[in-house]
Amino acid sequence: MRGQDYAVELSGISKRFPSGVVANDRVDCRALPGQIHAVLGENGAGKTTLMRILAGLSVPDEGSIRIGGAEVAFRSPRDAAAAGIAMVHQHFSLVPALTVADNLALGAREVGAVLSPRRWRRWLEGQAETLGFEIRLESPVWSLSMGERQRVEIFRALLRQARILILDEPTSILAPVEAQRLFDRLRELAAEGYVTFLVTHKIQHALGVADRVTILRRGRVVASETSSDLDSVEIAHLMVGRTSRLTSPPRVRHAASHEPVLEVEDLCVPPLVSPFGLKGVSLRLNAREIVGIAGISGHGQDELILGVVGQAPVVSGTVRQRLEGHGSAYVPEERLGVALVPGMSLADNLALRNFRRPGFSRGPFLKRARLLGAAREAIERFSIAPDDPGVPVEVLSGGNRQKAVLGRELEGRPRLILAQTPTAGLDVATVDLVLRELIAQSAAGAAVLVVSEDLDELLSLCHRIIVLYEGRAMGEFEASDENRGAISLAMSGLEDRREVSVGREAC
Amino acid sequence: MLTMLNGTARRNVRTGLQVMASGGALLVVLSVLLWSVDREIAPTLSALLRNGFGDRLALTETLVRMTPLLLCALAVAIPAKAGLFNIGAEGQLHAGAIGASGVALFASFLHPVALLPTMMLVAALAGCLWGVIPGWLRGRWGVNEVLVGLMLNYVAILAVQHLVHGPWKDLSALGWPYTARFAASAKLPTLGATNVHLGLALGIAGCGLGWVLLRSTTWGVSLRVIGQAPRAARHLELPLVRHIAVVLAVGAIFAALAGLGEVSVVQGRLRPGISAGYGYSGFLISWLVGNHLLLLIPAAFVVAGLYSGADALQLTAGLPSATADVFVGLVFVAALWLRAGRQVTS
Amino acid sequence: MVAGRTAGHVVIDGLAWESFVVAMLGGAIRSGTPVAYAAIGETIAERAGIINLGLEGMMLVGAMTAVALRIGTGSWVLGLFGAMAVATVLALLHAYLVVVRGANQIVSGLALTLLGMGLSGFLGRPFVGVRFDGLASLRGPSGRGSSDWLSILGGQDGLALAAMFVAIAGWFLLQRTRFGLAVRAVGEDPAAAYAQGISVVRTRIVAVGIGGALAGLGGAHLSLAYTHLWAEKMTAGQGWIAVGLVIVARWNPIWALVAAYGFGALAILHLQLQASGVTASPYLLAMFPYVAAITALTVTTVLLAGRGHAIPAALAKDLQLFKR
Repeated sequence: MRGQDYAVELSGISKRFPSGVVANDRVDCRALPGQIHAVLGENGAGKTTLMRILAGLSVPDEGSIRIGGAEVAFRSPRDAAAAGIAMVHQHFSLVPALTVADNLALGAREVGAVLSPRRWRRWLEGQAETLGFEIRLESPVWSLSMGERQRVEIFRALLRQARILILDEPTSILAPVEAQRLFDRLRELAAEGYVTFLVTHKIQHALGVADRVTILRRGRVVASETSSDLDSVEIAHLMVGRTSRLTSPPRVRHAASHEPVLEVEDLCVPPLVSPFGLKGVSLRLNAREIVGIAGISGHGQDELILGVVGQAPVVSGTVRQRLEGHGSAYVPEERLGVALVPGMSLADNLALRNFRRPGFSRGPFLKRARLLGAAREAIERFSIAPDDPGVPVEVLSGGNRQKAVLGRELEGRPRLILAQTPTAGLDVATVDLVLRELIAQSAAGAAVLVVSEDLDELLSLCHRIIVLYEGRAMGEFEASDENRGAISLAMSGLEDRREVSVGREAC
Repeated sequence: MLTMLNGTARRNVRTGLQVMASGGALLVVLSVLLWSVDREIAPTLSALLRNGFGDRLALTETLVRMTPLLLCALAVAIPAKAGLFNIGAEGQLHAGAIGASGVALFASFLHPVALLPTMMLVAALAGCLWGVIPGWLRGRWGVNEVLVGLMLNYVAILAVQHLVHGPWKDLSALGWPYTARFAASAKLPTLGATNVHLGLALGIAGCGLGWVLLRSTTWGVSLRVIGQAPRAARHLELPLVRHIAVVLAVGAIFAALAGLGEVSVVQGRLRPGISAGYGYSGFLISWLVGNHLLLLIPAAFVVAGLYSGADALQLTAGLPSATADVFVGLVFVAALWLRAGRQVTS
Repeated sequence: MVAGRTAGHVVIDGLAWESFVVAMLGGAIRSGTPVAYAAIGETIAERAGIINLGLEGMMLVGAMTAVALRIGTGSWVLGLFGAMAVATVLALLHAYLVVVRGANQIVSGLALTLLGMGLSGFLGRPFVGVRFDGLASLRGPSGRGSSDWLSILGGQDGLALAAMFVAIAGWFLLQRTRFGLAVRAVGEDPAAAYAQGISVVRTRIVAVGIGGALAGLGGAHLSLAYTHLWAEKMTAGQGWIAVGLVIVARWNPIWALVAAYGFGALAILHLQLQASGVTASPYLLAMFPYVAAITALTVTTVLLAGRGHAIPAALAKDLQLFKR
């Protein structure tokens, strides 16, 4: 295909965030006029970043964008809008306190310096009828349902005479019927020459409506094919793939016991971090057992962990911890700010669990010597570098910070350990250390629950694996290599090549 | 040459250059202002410093002025450790003044030994009440505490106006809105015959004690965690509400003490205008030193010295006392410029 | 009779009741105008999500500049424009520090109040107490006018009457112009506004600038029309009060004007009542708006929890100094 034929051409796009994460790594992505192009990948694969670059919300470090054959450089959403690009966001860009009509007037070229609400409303009503939309113009946005808000966003994109639409996870909050309606509309638009980028993690939707599919993993393009050339199993494998950086991650070898330590029964948690929340998940965790929670991030894992530690409002269901007097350890996803206090020293951070306990403080006063001693022990045990207890914890590298968190949480033989993506962003040596430590703790009697997107690590680390998808438990599997395929499918919401319908029922 | 240094050193050098540049800009602006009124900068500045710090009399005046500034700065710095900004110090100061005045006017029959502590207690309670209201409204219903605090400041100032124009007005004061003079026993202990009173000692002690307690008690550690990483505080199950309430109350008490000091010693009665915006100046001072408890003392001292020096300039050099406001204002603008160095992309 | 400057003998009885009310209303408008201008301007700035505690300083530099230019050039038009210009410069400094450099809004406002107080006091020294002809009222130089209802408006100077139009213009700006829509959007959800191509930075800077200009105008009224002189720190906290009035008025420019007149009434009520021997405390009355505002704020926050907004959302987020 010659370059001029493409409506949109992204070439060699790279984007690195200040935190060091490489969101996009030399990504190429092209779309022909009238094409519906799905961009698939897990959370963090770089899909949203790529589309934000196309929409002018983000500036790439490297690479070029061509629209209709002409090279463009967007410095703001306004530039992208001028090029005919409109993005319908996953988290909407409507101002909740203003009415729909007002929101539509924001940034609209048809509106003059002085507004005349009646004329504007009449014009909007006309447009809505022509384009086939049913919209309540005078209602404030906060009173609209999610589906309605999305319709308004799409309506606005069309009003702006965008010819290139980007929809970011459009179906994550739609019921199946609404999703189907959306797809029909997209096909109508495609027939009129619109280019649509569909960012999604739902394989079945992508295959159902898209002409072409591009799959991203860890910021790189792993495949870009016509949708009819791919099937869902292949896609699932491509999206997940071999993940662990360790060639042979530590393997659990001891057997689990049958004494329950954690019992979760039909737990329902409203959406806090993910759009799904937790919809009736049950699990049982025994002593000396390591259970992994697998799944694309943002499918209820945060709600599960927060529900277990008691920091989430529970709609229904129960959580019972049988700690028998021992403690529990919590290794959260975010190190600085949640697990560690940035402005305090290493020693202070290591002391955070203990400093109110009788042995480490007398009344209100801290026993500095004792706390310092405990800090040094932890530093030595986990080889934290630099080994100066007084160093501010922000100075430590990611790996050493995680070691500090472990050093604090795992001291004192906890009976229950909850770890959220404990090896994310760590160097190989530290990943090995973390996994070995978890296995050792388990062998010594602890019950360990690990949330991770890294399937290979989970397969060698855990006894059992539970897959979460859109807030529901998709299945429980023994953690062996034979089950890798089935687990991958479950992570994409598929079961035996058939998508399990997960409706929008309340818990 | 700069490229030879490593990252941190380079940043420090750049900061140093920025500080010098803004110091230079400050001097230039001041010189222009002074030139416009036919004064030269060097003799003016030296006169300012002399009048603020030069001799015993000047120092005394500075210390008197420093007291409410330090106490109000403390009132802001302590809650700041838990991540709270106490914009209501001005109102707490007035509330404390009202409490103290009430006792002085109506309980003057008390034995001197009991009178002062009672005044302090009532002032502290009044200040606490004023400080806790915005916090409570925020905790209970999520009402914005900064706006409530700001408005309570007005209410407190108006309350003083009401009292001195109305029920507590001294009828023999020829129409001036004053209360009667307080009895001698209602005066805080002072340094000799000066107006430097106990409040200063309490303020300095507060800074020192606070600094020590923050580092060496469980409360201090808890506060710092709450202030810097509220999510960590929650997952460590630190009692947020209790700590926040206490820290707000302690801050308010210091502001109330400032009010007590002003009516008990400096004014000897309750009247409008007991505070030259000390609550707000304290806020600025605390911000300037990054809420560092020990640094509050020199900062309050310097700012007080600038103000009392400028006051004296009015007599000696014929310059308006507003000179200090200009100077201090410029210093803060420069600090804001530097502190918020990075460009914010929208 | 000019209410607020001389306390005439107003006897409260049937006939004189009317002249009392007329005096009060006329005086309320006159004395409330400076703070009205500041409050209207601040409403616009806060709707864009920026609080400006530097209003006191801006009113003062406005007041001083107006007097300086009036005495120096004899033109009060120049005085008004100069006042607006200088106050706007200070406001733009605040806007730059806060919006572009991300400085703390409260600290910046307080610092600029200090600077404004200082600059006006310093540079205004030569003009302290110098007399000049102030802005005349519509009906000619103020003297013992009639106590009929027409004099309420007729006894005002042009600037005071203009304030009423400015309030309406402010409402119109916010509700019926493209810029006003941008202001409201930016004050509620700047991220969404940005995604729609609105320049958050530019909108906020302009909004704060307008607030500063109006504050300067308010200060000019105080010195040129109301008191006919300049004195250091003559606003006596009215800049602060304007910030409070914006909250009382629930961020609506027209209510801000009404609230300002209420404040003006209370300011002169004291004198009126004192002269007639009534000892009701105007200060207690003056507290009511603030207590009412706190109550209203609480009620609306509770009622609208999560859904709507009690105060412009971006303002709330920036001022929410303790993040739960």
